[in-house]
Amino acid sequence: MSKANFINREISWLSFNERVLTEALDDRNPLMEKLKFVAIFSSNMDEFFMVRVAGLKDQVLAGYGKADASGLSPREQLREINKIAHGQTVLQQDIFKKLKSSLRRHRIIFDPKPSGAAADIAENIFVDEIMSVITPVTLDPAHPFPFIFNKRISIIVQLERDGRQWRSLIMLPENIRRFFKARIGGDTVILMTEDIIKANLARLYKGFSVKGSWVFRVTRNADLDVQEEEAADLLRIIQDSIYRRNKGAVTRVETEPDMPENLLAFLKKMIAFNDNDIFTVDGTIDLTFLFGLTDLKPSLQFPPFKKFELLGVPPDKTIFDRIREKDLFFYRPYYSFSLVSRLIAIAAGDPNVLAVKMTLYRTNRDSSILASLVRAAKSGKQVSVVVELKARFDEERNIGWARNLEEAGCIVTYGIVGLKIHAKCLLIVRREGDSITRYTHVATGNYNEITADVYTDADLITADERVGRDAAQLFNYLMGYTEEKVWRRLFVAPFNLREQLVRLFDEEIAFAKGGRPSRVVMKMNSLIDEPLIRKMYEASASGVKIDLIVRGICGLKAGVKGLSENISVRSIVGRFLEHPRIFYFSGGGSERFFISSADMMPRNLNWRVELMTEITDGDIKESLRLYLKISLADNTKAWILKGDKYLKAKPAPGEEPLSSQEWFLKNRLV
Amino acid sequence: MRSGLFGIINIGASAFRMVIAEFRKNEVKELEYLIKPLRLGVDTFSQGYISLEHVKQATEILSNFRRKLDEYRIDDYRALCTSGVREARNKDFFIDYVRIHSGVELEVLEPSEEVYIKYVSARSDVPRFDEMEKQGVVFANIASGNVTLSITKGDRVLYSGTLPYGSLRLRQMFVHVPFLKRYKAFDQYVDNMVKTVTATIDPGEKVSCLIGGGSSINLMLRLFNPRGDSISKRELTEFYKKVRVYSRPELIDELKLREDEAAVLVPTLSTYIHLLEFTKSDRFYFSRSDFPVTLAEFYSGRLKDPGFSRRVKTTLMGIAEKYRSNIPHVKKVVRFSLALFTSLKDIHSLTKSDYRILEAAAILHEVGYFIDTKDVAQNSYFIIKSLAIPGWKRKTTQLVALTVYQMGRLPGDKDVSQMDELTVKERLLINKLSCILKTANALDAGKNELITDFTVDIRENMIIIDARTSREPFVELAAFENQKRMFVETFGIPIDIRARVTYE
Amino acid sequence: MDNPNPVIAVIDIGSNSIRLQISKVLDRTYKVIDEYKETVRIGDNVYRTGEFSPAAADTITSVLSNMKTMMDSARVEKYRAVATASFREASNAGEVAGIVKDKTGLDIEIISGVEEARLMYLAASSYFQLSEGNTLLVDMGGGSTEFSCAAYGELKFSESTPLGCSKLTYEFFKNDPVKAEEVKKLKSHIKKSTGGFLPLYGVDRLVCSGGTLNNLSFIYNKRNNLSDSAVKFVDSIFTKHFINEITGKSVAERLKIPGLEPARADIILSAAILVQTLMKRYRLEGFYTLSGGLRGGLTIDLINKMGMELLFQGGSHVDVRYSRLIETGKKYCFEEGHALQVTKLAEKIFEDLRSALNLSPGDWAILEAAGLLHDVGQYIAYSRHHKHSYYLIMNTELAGYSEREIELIANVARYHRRAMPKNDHANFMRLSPQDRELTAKLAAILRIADGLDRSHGSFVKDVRAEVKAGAIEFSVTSNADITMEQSGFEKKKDLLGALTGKEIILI
Repeated sequence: MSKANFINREISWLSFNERVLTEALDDRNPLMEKLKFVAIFSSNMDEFFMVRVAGLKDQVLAGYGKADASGLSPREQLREINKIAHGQTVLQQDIFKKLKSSLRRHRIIFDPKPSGAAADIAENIFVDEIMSVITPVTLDPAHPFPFIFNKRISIIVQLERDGRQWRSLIMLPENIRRFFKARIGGDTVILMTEDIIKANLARLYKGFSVKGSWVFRVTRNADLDVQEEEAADLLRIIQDSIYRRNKGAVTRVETEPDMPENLLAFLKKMIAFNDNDIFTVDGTIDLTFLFGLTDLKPSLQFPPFKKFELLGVPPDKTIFDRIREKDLFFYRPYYSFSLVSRLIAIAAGDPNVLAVKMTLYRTNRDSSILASLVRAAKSGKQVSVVVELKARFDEERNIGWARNLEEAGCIVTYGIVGLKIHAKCLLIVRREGDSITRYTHVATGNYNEITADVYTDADLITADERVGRDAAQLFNYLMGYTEEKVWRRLFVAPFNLREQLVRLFDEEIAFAKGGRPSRVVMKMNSLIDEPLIRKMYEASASGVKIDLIVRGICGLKAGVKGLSENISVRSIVGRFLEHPRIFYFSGGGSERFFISSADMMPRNLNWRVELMTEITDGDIKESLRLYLKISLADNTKAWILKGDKYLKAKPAPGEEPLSSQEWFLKNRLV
Repeated sequence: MRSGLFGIINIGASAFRMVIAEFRKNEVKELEYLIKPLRLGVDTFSQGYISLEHVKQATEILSNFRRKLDEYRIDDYRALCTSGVREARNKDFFIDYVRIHSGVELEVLEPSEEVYIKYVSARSDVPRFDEMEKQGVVFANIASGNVTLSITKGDRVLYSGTLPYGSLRLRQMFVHVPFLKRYKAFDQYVDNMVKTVTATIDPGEKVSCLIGGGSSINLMLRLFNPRGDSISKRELTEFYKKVRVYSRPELIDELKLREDEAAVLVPTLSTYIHLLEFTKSDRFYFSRSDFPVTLAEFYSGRLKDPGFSRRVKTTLMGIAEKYRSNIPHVKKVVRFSLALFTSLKDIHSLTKSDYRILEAAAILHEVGYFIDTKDVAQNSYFIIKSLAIPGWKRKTTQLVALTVYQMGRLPGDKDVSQMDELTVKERLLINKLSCILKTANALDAGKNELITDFTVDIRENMIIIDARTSREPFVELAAFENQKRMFVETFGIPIDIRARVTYE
Repeated sequence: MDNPNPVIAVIDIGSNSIRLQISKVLDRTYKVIDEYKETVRIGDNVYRTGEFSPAAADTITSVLSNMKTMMDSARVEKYRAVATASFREASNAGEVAGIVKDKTGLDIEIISGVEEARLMYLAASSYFQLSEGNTLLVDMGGGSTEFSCAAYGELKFSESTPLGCSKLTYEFFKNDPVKAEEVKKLKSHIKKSTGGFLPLYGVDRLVCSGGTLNNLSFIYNKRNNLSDSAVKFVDSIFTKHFINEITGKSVAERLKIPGLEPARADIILSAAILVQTLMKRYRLEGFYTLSGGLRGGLTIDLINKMGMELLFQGGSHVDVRYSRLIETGKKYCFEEGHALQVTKLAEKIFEDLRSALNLSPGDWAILEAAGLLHDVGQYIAYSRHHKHSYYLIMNTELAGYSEREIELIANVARYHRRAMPKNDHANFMRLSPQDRELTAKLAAILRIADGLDRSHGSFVKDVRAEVKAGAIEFSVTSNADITMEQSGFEKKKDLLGALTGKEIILI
């Protein structure tokens, strides 16, 4: 199979980010939500440059020239990325311009060069809020060029005094606001901080004449520890080489279009970057600030929605009887995640509960779950919490609560070195009469009550003994109590999850070859694992019909003749962040459904502890079937991958528009 | 059988294992199974003691296990050590250190008990075990430290013992031998084991089935992936020929083995092949029983061994034969002892388990003749004391040995020092049992089965044995005379005999 | 097909007792599986009246009928019942034998004194290396005493004399206590009666049998805290003192002597005097006693008559002690190949290290026996088998070795594996300091020899040990893979290293 059979992961990611961006053009989205999509695009892009582009640059620097599955060397990838990212920068500013004119209709006005009343207000703001916190550095032998921090809005100012040219630098402090709102008449005028500064430079440089000023922003290769995990597997690929992370290296410089050549050349020299790193932004640099605008007009946001509650779930400890009767299953955010918080609270107060164990990867600080755990520990139950080490990206938050838990008597462990814990699992051990019942919760999303409103996920709560046993073993393993890795009902990466997927595909292939019906539907966030993609191609060639719903990165080329004609790929980008991993296999007639925490990426399958759980309850299977069916029928928020290009789905003539997320908001799945 | 939760910790030579099981009615539910590799055996088998570093690591593991017990609030647990600790010189220190620092009370499992439990478990696990046992079966449980072998045929245990040929021990022993040749060392050494065992079995006894068990079985299953319930010798040998010259990294890479599995694969294969050669069978069956689970089942009373008494009896008979006892006489003494025991119930007030000791003592009462016809009591004591009867505790063996000793003791013979270790109650038991045995033996003193039967007439001041005999039993009467005094001293009531010659 | 391991019985009808011995014939050896004895002084009447009394005849019949039942229950295939002096002398002996035949079906064979002496010789030959030197065998019964003389493995003559101890007591000791004069008379009578046929000198070994002399050796052994065994040694000084001790005592007083059988209190003196006279004549330091001699001889004879020759009967070149060691090994199912190999290697090492370790050539006998028997304990159980070997060697008849030698053999075997000798080992501390040293040296050699046959495959063809300044270097010849042997050597060189303070190297 030729290398061209794969889509490069960075390119695929860029195209996903573009889909996010183009949501800002979809008029089904209210205006404020459109701003949010633009902001998401920006923040995604920043991270991309700090981590992915930085990584590729590191590879080039280390002389690592190996091509990836799509056949591109790191240098070639950088070239491609550059091309696409430049285009996207232009596209984003175009969209932003359009949005600004829409905002203007709602009397929200951007004013980069304030005048009149706005200028007054701007001057006041400058004096009151800004002047005291900024420190211009006018360059002379005593004041060398300062270090330009990552992602800081910076301004270079050209000055003149006594016929001599001076250059000065202003770097916006980290904690300064990015924009100010001025009420002028019935209008809300948005004043960007850099614009206010630019308008008031004379106040800063007394005795100088200001010849000009230009905003720029440097993105750097960022410290991995405070970063998303995106780079982890990249690191692993080249860890054996002489590679050293080139922290702080510049990966992108955004500038205003009219910056003079000589200044640009000066910056290039002082900051150390090259022409390829320069992104000229015709408009406003760094649009992440738009997040802060979205609540300006609540009426222009998505209307709030009412979450479904699961029917017949008691609010007290008889909930356990209910779970024993039948598995509980629900979908976030359409159903309330508080059920899980409630279950933990009930367990904490139930004298028959002996132990509570859970993985905590990312949780919100004021989590009611933490409070329940503390209560449980204080009442003498054994509470064990496995905290993911690398999730310490913001230390105060994570370590703080971990320490609280420890003080309350919980057993807090930090997982296994080299294996990031991504599985989401909760185990409640309960004595019932003279026997033990274990209740297990597994989910595709984190124990985070806030993201539960934004991410779509699926949750299972079961009293299935075999699941309970495996879950207990998982905790024993994570806590270092055992090395036993034989699983009965759960599939656990990096031990048997990949093997099971391959086995499932092989079965489907055998069915197809034997002329029996065969089909696979998989919903996930990313698909970049090469062996699995090859397996899918193999299945396609054998006649297995495969429908993939891959929100983000997808390395597989869809519907390509002689390669993947039986594979369809769609990506849903909507109001909620699509997050669940749900897998369906026809099983030659005995259909099988799985939910999982794992994406189909090498890092998930090889280097992380991930769970995949089979759904056995017939009703839940039906519900999942419906969920997948609706997702596949989405013709408004879906993008269809043809080869390596995404096309927005459109309702066929005579077809009703269907947005799956909207549908799930209005229709019960369980 | 107990119900509720039960915890078992097994400290083996290469790993610590723990089972938490729930017992209810006739059901066992294994709640948790933990395994933590720690190769104590590497220390014990090479330097004779457990290094301090390993003591500490063991304590850490056991502290975690202790937490599991606490989680379920289990007080009812057993933590049993096998060869890795049992054979270490500093085992007392180890046990004490672990107790102080982790709160886990360790016990050392007697080898004979270990063999027995494994055997009983294989019995209940392997289908058609009974059938195979009729043709004679070798059950080999290959663990890291020891190979426990039970060779049984019909109701008889031909051999039972733990042999220091465990796979880790073997590896450790020949670790300095270049790996290309190492398998030869294994082969020779295992061959040696088989020779040792065969030497103790009557060459006329044929055993033709092999059943394997132990921690290595999972590895074998994974490697051979057998369709049925056995692995063929051909497969095994071919595979062995291929892999025996592999280095450890090669084993790990090519066969996808874990480090610890790679360490023991070749010695394990060699052991199976030699045992197959010994049984001359073309395949071996396997028991998947897991030792800690088995232990849990055993100590909770779930693992039943209905044939136990019968097997012990036939096994002891086999031992009596091995030591060339006069079997018709032995049978007579057994019958008479038990008849006396039953008749004198009110006088001795002993229990069913005491009865078993008497029965065993009666079967073995003259094994010492084999060594020499002088000092028979002492010789018998020595032989019995060295027996490893599957299912017998050391105490049982000791009581039987002392009963026989006491029975054969001549006036003036000194007490064996072991008598001193006994409690007063145990000493009384031995006196009573040996007195009954001696009386029974007197009734067939001439070993010619003159006395066919007797009844016991218990009167207020006297016990009269009413014996039916085919001819006048001079020898028996003389022998009985000699032991009258002992009887009155033991039971506080005189005894006498009346022999009536029966006519046809 | 004939049973390869038939069970056979012999009955010895003597003056004082009737004895049954049942044995199982094994591969060129046999094993006594049962013994039974009735003490019946049937001879008393014969010596007084010349015939068996009816009561004696009854007793003989009933005892033999019991024995017949025991023989049947043991499934005896062949037997031989012989009667000696009392039957020879009783005028109604044939009549009594006829009654016995009728009642029990047993044929009693009345044997001559010469035949008795031959059987004794057979028995002795199984215990003593008769091929060395001249041996005088004395079987002293109540009525007669048989003398046989074996010279270098060949029976030269047998002579039956009426010098039975009961008979002598009867004739010479009329007083109680015995008078010195009576003793003197007896001594000269013995000299006179034996002078005609016994050699004047040149007897190297005196082997006696008969209940009374056995009782004498039992008393000696008891006084010296030695264990009971079939072959015992009694030194002449003791015998002399014993005679002095009891001469002045009445029979009633003699009963207080520990170990003295009451029934022999009167006749033991004449027996002691007889043997003492012989020792004096041949300037011997002591004499051996052999118990069960007649039965042993009968059994051997019976087996020979079945067409089988026993191990030690391979001719005069066969070392009897060695044969008995092999027999003992076989009894405990030892692995003969390994035992022989270890012994062979041990011998080579012994020779090479003899002067360095300051061993005498005679010490080889100990090491040889320990080498052959070191593993017999495995018959009891594999685990701790070295300790079992110790027990079995200590408690199994090892003919031809003295008490001290047996204890040395047992200790050397015991230390063939596991712990090195230690001062808190009871078995070790029973030895004299010199013997402890000897044990350690021999065990050191045995360990290495055993290590060099770790695989039990006899792969080492030859071994040489060379003593150097700081080391003892071993070199082996082999054309097989000796990986196991090398590791066995490493494991078991410890004791030699500790003893010599040298490095022990296998090159």
